[in-house]
Amino acid sequence: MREMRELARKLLDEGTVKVVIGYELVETEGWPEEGPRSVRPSFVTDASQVDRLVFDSRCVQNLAAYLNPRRTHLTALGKAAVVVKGCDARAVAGLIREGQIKREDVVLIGVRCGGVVRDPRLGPGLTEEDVSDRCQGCGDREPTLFDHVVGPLPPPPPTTTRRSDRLAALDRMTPAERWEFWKSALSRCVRCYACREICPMCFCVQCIADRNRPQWIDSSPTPRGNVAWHMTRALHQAGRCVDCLECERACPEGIPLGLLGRHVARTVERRFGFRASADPSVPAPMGVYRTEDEEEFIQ
Amino acid sequence: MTNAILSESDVATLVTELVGSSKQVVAPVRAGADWEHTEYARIERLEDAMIGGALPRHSLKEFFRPAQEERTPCAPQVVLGAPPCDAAGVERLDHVMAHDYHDELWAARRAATTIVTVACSGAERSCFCGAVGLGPDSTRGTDALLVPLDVAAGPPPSQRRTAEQLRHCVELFLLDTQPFPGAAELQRAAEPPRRPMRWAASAVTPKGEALLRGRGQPLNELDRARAGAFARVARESVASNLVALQLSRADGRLDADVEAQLAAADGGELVDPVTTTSARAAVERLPEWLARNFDHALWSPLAQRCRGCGNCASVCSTSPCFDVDQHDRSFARRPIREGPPPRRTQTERLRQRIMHKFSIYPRRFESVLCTGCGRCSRACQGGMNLPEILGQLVQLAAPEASGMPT
Repeated sequence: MREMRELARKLLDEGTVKVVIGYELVETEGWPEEGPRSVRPSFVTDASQVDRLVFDSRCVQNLAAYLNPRRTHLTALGKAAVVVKGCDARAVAGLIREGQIKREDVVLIGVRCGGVVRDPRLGPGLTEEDVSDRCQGCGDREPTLFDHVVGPLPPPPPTTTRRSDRLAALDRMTPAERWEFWKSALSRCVRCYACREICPMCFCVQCIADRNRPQWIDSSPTPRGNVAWHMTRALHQAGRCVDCLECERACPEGIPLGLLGRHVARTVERRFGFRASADPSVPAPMGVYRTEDEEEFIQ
Repeated sequence: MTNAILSESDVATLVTELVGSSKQVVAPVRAGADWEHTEYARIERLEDAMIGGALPRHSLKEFFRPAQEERTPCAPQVVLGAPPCDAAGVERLDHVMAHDYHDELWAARRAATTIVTVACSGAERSCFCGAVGLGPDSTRGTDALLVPLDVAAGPPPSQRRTAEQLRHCVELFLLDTQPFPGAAELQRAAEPPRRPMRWAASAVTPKGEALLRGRGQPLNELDRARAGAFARVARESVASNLVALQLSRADGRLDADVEAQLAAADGGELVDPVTTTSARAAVERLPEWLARNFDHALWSPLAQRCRGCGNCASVCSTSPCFDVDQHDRSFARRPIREGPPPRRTQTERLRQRIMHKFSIYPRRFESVLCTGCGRCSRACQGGMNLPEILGQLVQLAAPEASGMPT
């Protein structure tokens, strides 16, 4: 923690960055006798405030989302340093890969991670029930894309097979059963687009869901419109989704959107040998033509 | 107006009769398998409901403004067991829905609905109803109020963990589509001991009177005192929230003259704790201050952590904005957002949210457009917190040396 704060102080003092985006405790969350119960994103613009910065297993939020150029109220602050876990750095790599930001426009403070909770109000201890699905089988606990890396490597999080079990259960279903499952899950959607707004990789200036001349996607929360929206989003995220589960966390209706994202990511991995990694120099399948790509669907 | 004691069986009979006469009965029910999440849903029997539990995830507005509706006469409905803040939320929306455009569909649903609230224990940590002119037993928008005479025991902490575990089991097994071994045992372990409840019921409007007439037993002095004690403890609980949320100071005193006036109006005794009155007075100062501070330097840092997900508006009981699509025979409404947003940055959007609630609406309709239910704080993905923002505004708006929170 001290290492991170000192680094933040140095970056701000030297004028390398104008703002450090990290995590802070929420003082008003939780009963006073229990102490602060939650963490939230923090924007430190003044070196005297660096002691607000913390990092522990409650820091589930993907702060790379704040680098999204769509957030003009933040780009206006000036150059940012952002605290990223190894998994979050994959979103930064995605933004660089797709030309949204330049590598030199951001200072990455990598943190070594021992897993995070599903919801910042849980923890800070990590249990098998509390650990986030995104931590299952994590290979990014040691950051690979960073300018500075801080903290010792904590022990690995408790093992959970929750998500692979759910995916396997979906795989075992017949197409008709699977369709019933998704129809029922997506029928709850109210089309608030929280999933899109919170997504670090949703940066389109105008989303297809907002186009009404012509209207590609029925904009009302009808079964037809809901399926069209979520299928379009899942396919648009193919090979781009970094599986940070922010959409699932943000969904006010509790739709298991992460399953959809993970399923598509798994397909891209199998078919194209590509995973949205933290290396921005590896092109994504959607953005590159390779003669060895399979094309058995063209008959 | 009727004042009576209703036992659990009286209420069960009421539900059965209403359902029998093809009225829709809406009540909080357990959402998933744990104790800390409920949501409003249609019930057929009282056993399906979870009266006096946690605040439902979404507010009542969807029952007056459903996501999709036909232009046909709506069925009569009774809302049972809503907390008073949710009834107040509906009442605050009434003003918007009948302001410059008279929304017929809203008005028809309102006319066809009777709302029975249950006084709240004021125990939720992010609530601040006292600061926005409401209280755990206020009757705004309410047709009949029930005050619990016996407080249901919540699950002890060890069982909470079990309940949480159960929820994951259900999630893992795909939303209850497959039963799993041990589910029934887990469910029973998570169940707190049941105890029959009783409520002191009072009708507030003729609609409430029609619902309660001839039901229950007359209210005796002892039970009247118990109901009074419940309300008092609940108000104290809200007052301590206001102090913890820094909307009021623990030693907050009012101007001696104001205090005397209020006490006289309350019949010699301040009904609300002083900290509540002080927080309310501070919030009432906001409309005027906000109107003068559209360009204040505060807005930009406040909006920084906003992720723009709109969950605050989705769950808000008083956020009236929606978008309409007309299909052949029905209307579909969905929360906000179509095309490029009229306000370009997150800063402008956050400012509009605060301005709408605490300046624009109150200057038109007197009360603020917020019921202090705290849903927005709980739903926020960026860790923003409306009471925290209010606390900052209140400090800025406080006249010097006023004894307001500093």
